[in-house]
This record gives sequence, C-alpha cells and structure tokens, in this order.
Amino acid sequence: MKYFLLLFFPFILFAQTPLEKGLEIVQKVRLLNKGYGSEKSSMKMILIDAYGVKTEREMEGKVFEVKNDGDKSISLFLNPLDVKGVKMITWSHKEDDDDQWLYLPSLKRVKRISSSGQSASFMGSEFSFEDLGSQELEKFVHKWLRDEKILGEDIWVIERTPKRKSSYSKEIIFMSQNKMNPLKIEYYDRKEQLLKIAEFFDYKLFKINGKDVWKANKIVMKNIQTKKESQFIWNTRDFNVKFSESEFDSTSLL
Amino acid sequence: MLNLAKANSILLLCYSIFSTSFAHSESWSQRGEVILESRRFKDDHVEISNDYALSFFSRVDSSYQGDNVKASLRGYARVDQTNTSRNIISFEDTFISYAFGEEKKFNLFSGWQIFNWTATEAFHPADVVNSRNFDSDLENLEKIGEFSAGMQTKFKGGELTFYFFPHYERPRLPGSENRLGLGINIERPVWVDGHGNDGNRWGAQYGAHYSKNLGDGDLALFLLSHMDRTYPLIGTDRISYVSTLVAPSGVVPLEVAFRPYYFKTADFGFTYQHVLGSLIIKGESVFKDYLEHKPIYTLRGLRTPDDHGELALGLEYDITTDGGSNLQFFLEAQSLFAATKIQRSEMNAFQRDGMMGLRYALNDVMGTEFFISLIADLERPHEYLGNFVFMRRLSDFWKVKGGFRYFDAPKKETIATGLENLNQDHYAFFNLMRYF
Repeated sequence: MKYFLLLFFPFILFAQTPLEKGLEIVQKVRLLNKGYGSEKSSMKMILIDAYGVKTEREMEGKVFEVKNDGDKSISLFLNPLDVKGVKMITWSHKEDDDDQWLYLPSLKRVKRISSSGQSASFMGSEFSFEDLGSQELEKFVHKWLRDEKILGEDIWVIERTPKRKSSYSKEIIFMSQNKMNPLKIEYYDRKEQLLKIAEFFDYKLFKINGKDVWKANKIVMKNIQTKKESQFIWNTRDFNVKFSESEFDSTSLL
Repeated sequence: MLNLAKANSILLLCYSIFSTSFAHSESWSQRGEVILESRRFKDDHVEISNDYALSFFSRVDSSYQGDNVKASLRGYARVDQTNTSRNIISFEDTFISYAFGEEKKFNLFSGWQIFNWTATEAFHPADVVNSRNFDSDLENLEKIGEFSAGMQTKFKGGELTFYFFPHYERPRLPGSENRLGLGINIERPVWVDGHGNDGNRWGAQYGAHYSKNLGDGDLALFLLSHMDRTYPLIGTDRISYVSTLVAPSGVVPLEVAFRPYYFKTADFGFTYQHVLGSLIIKGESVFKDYLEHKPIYTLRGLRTPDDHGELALGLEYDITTDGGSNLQFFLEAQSLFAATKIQRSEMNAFQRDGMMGLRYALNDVMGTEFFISLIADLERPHEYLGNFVFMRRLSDFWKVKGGFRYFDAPKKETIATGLENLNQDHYAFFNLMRYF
C-alpha cells in the first residue's frame, strides 16, 4: 500500500510539515537580514495613552553582529532627562538567556540585571523589553499557517511560540515575501487572548554588503486591552559602522 | 545666600568653560539638575540641633566623547538655608582620558572620579575608594570625587586598571547641629601615613583593579594601598602616659578636641555578581591590613585600628507582572570578621546586619517607583533602620522624591555606639527636582 501511494503521489516524500516550512521561512529571512556587520541609529518613541495624550522618549542604539551567536547592543537613553545617560548593554544568545547590564550614571554603577524581566514595559511604553530584544530563531518554535495577501503583498502567516518563559503564549507573524520582514505581528497573552498588535511601516531599502535589505522605520504597537499605543520611529540608521567589539563590554561603560 | 552664589558660580563657571571648549562637537552631551531638598526630623528637644533643613542642590554633568579622547565635568553643590556646615561643593567626575589605537586597548586618564565597586544595595565593603559625605543616607552615602591618574588595559579578556591617588580627599562629617552627626564638631582630619607629618594631605596611594565577565557572572578583584576613610578613630593622639592609679587605662588625653584619624591600609578584595534566571547572587569582600597602628585616645579609651575582614552577601529576585511592572526583592547581610564584638560595634553601624528590601517599579510613563527596606542588627539587639522612598516624574523635566527614614537603636551603654548615635532621628524628606 505504501509503495502504491508513493508511486502515484511522490510529492508526499517532499511535502513539508507546517513546522518544517515555518522554520525554513524564518531561516531564509534570517539569512537575508544577517551580515549587516553593525548598526548605529537614533530613535524616538511616542507614547499615546487611551485619551490620546502623547509623550516622547528618545534614545540611541548601537548593534554589533556576532558570528554564531546573538548580537551585542547598547541602548543610550536621552529623554526623559532624569534617565539621560542611562545605558543598557545586551548580549543576546541563540539558546541561553541574554546577558544584560544597566549603567546608572548618577551612581557610576554597572548593575547586572536578570533577563527574566523581559516582559516588563520598556520606558512606560506598550513595547516590552522582549518585543525589542533578541529574536533569535532558536528561542521559538515556528509553524507556517497559511499564505495570504495584504494590500497586494504576498504574505506568509507564521505562528511563533516561545520555548522559554515569556509573557506571550504565541505570536502570529505576517511576513512579507518580498521584503522578507514582518508587516504585522499579533501578540497573544498567556490566556491566549489577543493582547497587542505591532504594525511595521516606512520600509526603506538599504544596500548592505552587496545585499538589498528592507528595514521598517516605524513600528506602531497597539494594546488591544488598554487601548494605549506606542510608536517606535527610527530617525537615523547607518549600517556597517566601525565599532570595536570591546565597546560592548560591560566594563567599558564606566 | 553668599555661599549659595559662590558655590554655584564656581560650578557654573567650570561648566561654561567646558561647554565652550566642546560645544561645537556632536559628541558632546550635557545634563543638569537642580533640587529643592527639605527634611524634617522628629523633634529631639535639643535647642542647638537643626530639626529642619531646606537646601538647594545643583549638579552639572557634561561629557565629551571623541574618537580617542573622553572628557567629563560633573560636580554638585549644596547650600543649606540655615546650617552652613551642610554646604558642600564637590567635583565628582572631572577627568580627561585618552585611548590609544583603533581598538582602544590601552588608555590613560587623570582627574577626579567617582568609583563604584559595589554589587549590593545596602552594604558596600568593596566600595573603598571615595571619601563620603556622611550627611546623607548611611547605607548609600554620597561620594566625593577622588583625584587619580592611571592607565587601563585589556588583560586576559578583562579590564586591568592601575591607579595612583596623590591626594587624601577628606570625608565630610556632619557638624554638631546636624541630626545625622555625632553631636560634636569634628576638627580637621589627621592622616596617619607613617611619614610623620600627619597634617599633610598629599602622599602616594596606589592600587589595581581587574574586572572580567565570566558568562553569567561578573568578577572584580582589587588591591589598594591608601588612606582608609571608612573607619576613622575619632579622638586625640595628644596623650600622656600616667600611673594606673590616676587613670585605669594608664593614659590621659592632653586636649579635648575631637579629630578623625585616618590610617594607611592595604585593602584586598573582590566583587562578584551571578545571574541564575530571575535570581542575582551578589557577594563582595575586603580585607583591611592597617599599615599604621598609632594609638588614639577616644571616648572609649585608647584604640588602634584593627586589621579585619568584611563580607557582604546578597540576593535579588525579580518578578514582572502581567501589566509590565517590576517587583525586586532584596535580601542582604554583612559581617565584620577578625575583631571582637565590642570592636566591631565601635567600627561600623552595620557590623553584623541584615537587610530586606522591596522595589516596586510601575514602569509607567511617569516612572513611578516605591522602595521600602529594613536593616536590622543581627548581633546587637534592638537596632533597626527603616526606609521608605517614593519617586515619580511630573513631566519630562520635573520629578518628586519623598519618603521617611526611621532609626530605632536605643543606647545600651554610657556611650552610644554605631546606629545608636542616630536613635530616634527619624525624618521625613521631600525633594523637588528640575532637570535641564
């Protein structure tokens, strides 16, 4: 019977399961987006409460790409002024918990922080540290759900479930097949209720190391449950900036 | 008011010069704050003591980061409305450093700096460099910049730094009117460095510090030969040896002035932090080997500095709620070793103490935060220090901080020891901060 089936339906041998296809897609996406070397950027965040009142936050970031592991990054907070000068270093890892340090300039103290606080709100916004931090493939299980079109763009819809402790039970990613980057992510809380939706706008095409790479320059995160909204906007973005890896050491913060 | 103008003028003048020098640069960063500080103590019914303090605090912080050059000017001034002995002007970070090469593996620096070698929240045995302003929170005293010159280099995957400190920076001890002081006016310090001239504020102090990341842990080791400013002996060395029939100790003082005596010491120690999921384990230690042992006549009799070790251990546990706020639990303990119970109690208010604390950060737009802690003596009965702090931003420029501190440590013998000096000095405080 088995041989009979293979004879008439040979594609069974090559058919991928949704998990295999999901993994294949995100691996393709990673391959295209990797290899940028380093990035320096300045960003602002607009926090909008349920009544429409806006508050702005500003920061700068540096990212250093590490071969065979997660990236190293430094975030420098510029506004509000009471946290101006605070720096956060993150060494993301493919499988282990990320290493994180916080530099408090008022005390000249480098404080090791546990990465368990990933679900905490980032500067009072609707983004959590988890949303903005490392998105290493190895930390999730990816499952392809379907293909669809959004505004004429071909989309892969992928379900991503965290392998480690997370504030989300799952995320549904709407991945553009053209831009090889997400257009939308739906975040579901631990009770499987839709919590937040992130939409990615202002995609720009960058030429990085001979590759064409799309990067979103605005992310709008809407909290469905609280009706609050936060926008993350890149003002400047430079790739392949010359950094020394030692700049990303916790000991260099002082 | 004249002092206020003078202190702030000096600070602002330095700031202006520094700003003019580097203001054209994109790598230039500046920040400042002015704070209206107020505190009200529980009335002690002592006429000369100040139960109320209202002061004006200002801090400027400017820094320049070029390709190889880094320069910083940071300092603060505080002027009190009624108690001029609280006035202070201090350069915290005012230094210049130059890094060699593209990889910046070697750099030289010189200037005033604040060092922070601690890992714990309440007890800081390894944080030995800077002098402190004792008119501040006992478990987190304000630091005074230390003048240093040195070099830093990469070594075995870590940072190795050599320091030279040519100047003995004087700690600030509160005056007799200050409720956080000993109730007496302390005269100028005496530096016992073995060179005979105890009034000289210049001398060779040096040290090395090595820090390295070890995966989930951060380790730092240090050794220093310097003037110890953590454990002064307060008294006089102008003494006369007499018959024990005249004085049981065989010694009588020849003056009644109280001076702090700071002794030269060799310090060896470490700091370690290790992350285990939501838990951070912290430890720090120092061993103090005093190089001078000159006898000083104190209120408790003749004393010499005692070589000893100190160890502080701590746990920090983080919980994040579904709403995105943070709870941090702290549990810490400190002990002094190689000294008797009486000696320990005379040396440090936290000679064998434990601390429990909780920080609740709402992580909201206004950065609302609460912190509550209790320090209890584990060796001596009935000694407690309670602390409650509330902070909240009012806007991007304004912030308030308020709270309450509680001291419960009744005197057990004739002379108050350690925390007993602050018994019933409870106070509430409120600070209004403006950032620019």
